[in-house]
Amino acid sequence: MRPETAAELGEILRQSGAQAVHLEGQNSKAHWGNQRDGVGITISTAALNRILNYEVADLVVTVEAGVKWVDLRRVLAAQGQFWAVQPLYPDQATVGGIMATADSGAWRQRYGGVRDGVLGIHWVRPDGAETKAGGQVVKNVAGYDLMKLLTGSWGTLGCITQATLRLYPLPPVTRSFLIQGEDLEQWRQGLLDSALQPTAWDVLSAPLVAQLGYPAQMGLWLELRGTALAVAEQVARLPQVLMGATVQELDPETGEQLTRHLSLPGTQPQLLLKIGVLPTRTVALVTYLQQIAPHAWVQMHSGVGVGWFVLTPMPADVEALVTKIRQFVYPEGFASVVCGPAIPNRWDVRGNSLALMRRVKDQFDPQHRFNPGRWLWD
Amino acid sequence: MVDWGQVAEEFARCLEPRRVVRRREELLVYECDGLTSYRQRPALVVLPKTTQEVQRAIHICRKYHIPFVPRGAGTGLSGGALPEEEAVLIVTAMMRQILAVDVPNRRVVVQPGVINTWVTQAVSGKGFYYAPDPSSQTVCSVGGNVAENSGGVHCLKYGVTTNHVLGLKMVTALGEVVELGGMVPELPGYDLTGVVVGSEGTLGIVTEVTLNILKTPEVVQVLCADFATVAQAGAAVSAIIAAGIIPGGMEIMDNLSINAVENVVATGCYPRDAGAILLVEIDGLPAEVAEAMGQVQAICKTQGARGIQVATDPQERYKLWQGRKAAFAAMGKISRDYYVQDGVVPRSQLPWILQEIERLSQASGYRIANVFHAGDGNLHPLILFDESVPGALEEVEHLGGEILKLCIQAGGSISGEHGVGAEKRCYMSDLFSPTDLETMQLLRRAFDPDHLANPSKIFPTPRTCGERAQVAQKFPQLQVY
Ligand SMILES: Cc1cc2nc3c(=O)[nH]c(=O)nc-3n(C[C@H](O)[C@H](O)[C@H](O)COP(=O)(O)OP(=O)(O)OC[C@H]3O[C@@H](n4cnc5c(N)ncnc54)[C@H](O)[C@@H]3O)c2cc1C
Repeated sequence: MRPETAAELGEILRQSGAQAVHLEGQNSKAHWGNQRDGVGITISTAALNRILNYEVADLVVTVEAGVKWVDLRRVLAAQGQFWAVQPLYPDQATVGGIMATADSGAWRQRYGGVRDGVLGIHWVRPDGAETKAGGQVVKNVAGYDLMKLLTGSWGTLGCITQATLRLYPLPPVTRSFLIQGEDLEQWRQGLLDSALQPTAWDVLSAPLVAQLGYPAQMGLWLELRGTALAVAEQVARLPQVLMGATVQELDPETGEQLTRHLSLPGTQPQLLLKIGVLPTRTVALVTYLQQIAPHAWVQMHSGVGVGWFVLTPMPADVEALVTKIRQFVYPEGFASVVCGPAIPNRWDVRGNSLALMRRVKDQFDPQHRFNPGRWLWD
Repeated sequence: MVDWGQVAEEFARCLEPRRVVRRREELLVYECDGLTSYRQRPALVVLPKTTQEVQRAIHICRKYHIPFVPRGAGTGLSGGALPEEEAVLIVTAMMRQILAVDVPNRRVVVQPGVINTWVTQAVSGKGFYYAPDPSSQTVCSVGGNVAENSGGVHCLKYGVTTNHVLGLKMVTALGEVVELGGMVPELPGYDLTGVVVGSEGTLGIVTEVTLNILKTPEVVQVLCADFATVAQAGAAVSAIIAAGIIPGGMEIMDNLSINAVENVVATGCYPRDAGAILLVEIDGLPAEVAEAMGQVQAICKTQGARGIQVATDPQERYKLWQGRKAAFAAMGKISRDYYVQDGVVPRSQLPWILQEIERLSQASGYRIANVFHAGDGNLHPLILFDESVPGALEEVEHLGGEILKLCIQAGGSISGEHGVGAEKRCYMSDLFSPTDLETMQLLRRAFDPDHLANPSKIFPTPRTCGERAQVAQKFPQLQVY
């Protein structure tokens, strides 16, 4: 079903009793999470695809959840602005889907994650009631910050229908570099400790570097954005910070190329992990991953310690591989099986808050109608 | 009825007796927070030192079914830490340890009573700082910052508290200790860290906070432009944002505030005859800052700036900021009392709302000073009055309410950083529908099903909000609070 308004969506939910509800946008992430058993109704946000209000002078836009990232990007770019997330499946991913899975991308260390840029949200609760939180302004502390609760909730608390997003001015110049050599960790930390302000600073595994057309050796991808003068000023300092490194200039579009490489079509059996680790261990992690999974494409955002791991074809013993990775990234980190077989504890919720999370779920969706089985809950 | 003697004894058994406060004179300092016109003596005050002690305290509250109110440094401006007559005040003033500093990973872990500036002090030697800087930063606690999601003059570029909190340890109102988030962002599961930040102590008590720190910028410059009118300064802010420049901070002070500050702090740097001054801070690498500063200067001139000063060295910068940071305190010197509001409007609506505030000021006869986070559209109108005049407080609160309603009308919000607290909960219904408020209660029930954590804050109740309006109508001379 493809409701065109939140009211219609609410009506569908009220009319469909206690039936399970499966949520989708453009279905780019259909293969993510546990696979549905087919029972229940499917609600798509594809027809909720309007840009409702674009306050250009205010750098704020309100959009419906089904708006595609590519379409939004085009509209914003025409005004010299952008939403600072770099999601997987850039051609299909919708605002709602990106929010529900908190797919922030490489700019996170500079601009914050999806969570940091959502100023307001409207959604329809599992009981069909339309509700909202936040607002349309860049600073607002009235009421609970339910934008953060819904961001990354995998459609288990309600169906996001619209969001107000904080935008940034599009920097006129982007330059991208590949850094290779022996002292990756030293350069990684050195650049972060310098006065440079990279928009992306990621560790890439050798096979992913090869995809970019460079020697298959682990490397660091650096992206600098700003005015021509500001970027040139940073580039002039690179030799100082990256002493002894091989530095090659890449296509300015490298960031998007990387997400496109990682966005293998869902039909292909693949293991997709979201990994977190202390930033200081990102280089060591990728080195280790290259030993235990030599073909994996890995992109770790080294300023924050979060990133993607993609392996195809599906390895024989996923559980053993994931266990090894977890042994490496613990105690601070995590490794979630976003796409792959339903191994026990696939999501890897850390700490002791699962019981509290369950109480939140039970409050918002007492009948567990929304996306049952797909994520943490039955 | 609660047997407070027995309850106090039980607290004394689980904390040291001297950390359980019951004597009337000692309770006096806890009667109010920064919103001094709201006062209530608490039944009991306890000062735990550890997560475990907080947990025991909450268990005692649960046993006797007594509500509790968390309190940090008590500088809040919305009555968030206002006690209740039949409640325990749990104060974090003795939870003041910095637990871990991990500079390579940019993390600092602190207890909630740690004062905001201590975080920067702990890492500044290594070239780092903690970004959110409320003007009260030398006295307010990190726990209070987390509960209010506090902002500051440098939040335009780097964000408010929530953007810098990675993880929390807390004791929920159910008495369980939970770890939310951690050292790495985007941990699997719901982002409960994100919802606890800004929840004003209504979900439980935060006992450890993991903060993100930033590298100190290489170059920082502050520009101070003076304008004949506030509207011109507001237009300059909009033009700077529209030009794609994101300064570290952008603040406006109007004529009344300038003169108050010059009288008290005597910085000698704000022209007394200016209608408004605009402070703009730019940080980054040298050429980048010079370029942006050049653009900002050009914009200010186009918008009619009469004079522009640029401070480059730390002392000059400090001098320019000093007056801004002391603005509230200075207001206290020129008027017996003042009442601060904290509304937000879309940045493009600044000139309009400032005109409206001026209109309200003239119509009501109360002077209103404007000192505000212009870059974020976050207003702080300070209404000057004398509380000893019967009925003045009610009139001023009413005036504040009118300003908030205008903010809502402009598409804004009733609070940008001070929180809703006890003060503004009756305006929540102007911003949110009954369904929205009910949805927020769903979250609350997961943390606090028995309604024990700071129960009379944030949310309107028909009783209080209805009653207050009626009393004010029936007995205009009566002090409602
Ligand atoms: C002169 C002056 C200037 C100010 N400037 C600014 C400014 O620029 N920006 C800004 O945002 N604010 C500002 N404030 C407001 C105030 O300083 C902030 O709201 C601050 O964060 C409050 O911290 P506190 O420790 O004093 O908290 P308190 O006032 O003690 O408490 C505030 C709220 O937090 C809750 N709380 C406290 N500790 C905990 C805990 N550990 N766990 C759970 N809940 C807790 C309380 O219940 C209460 O609801 C200013 C205040 C003054 C007096």
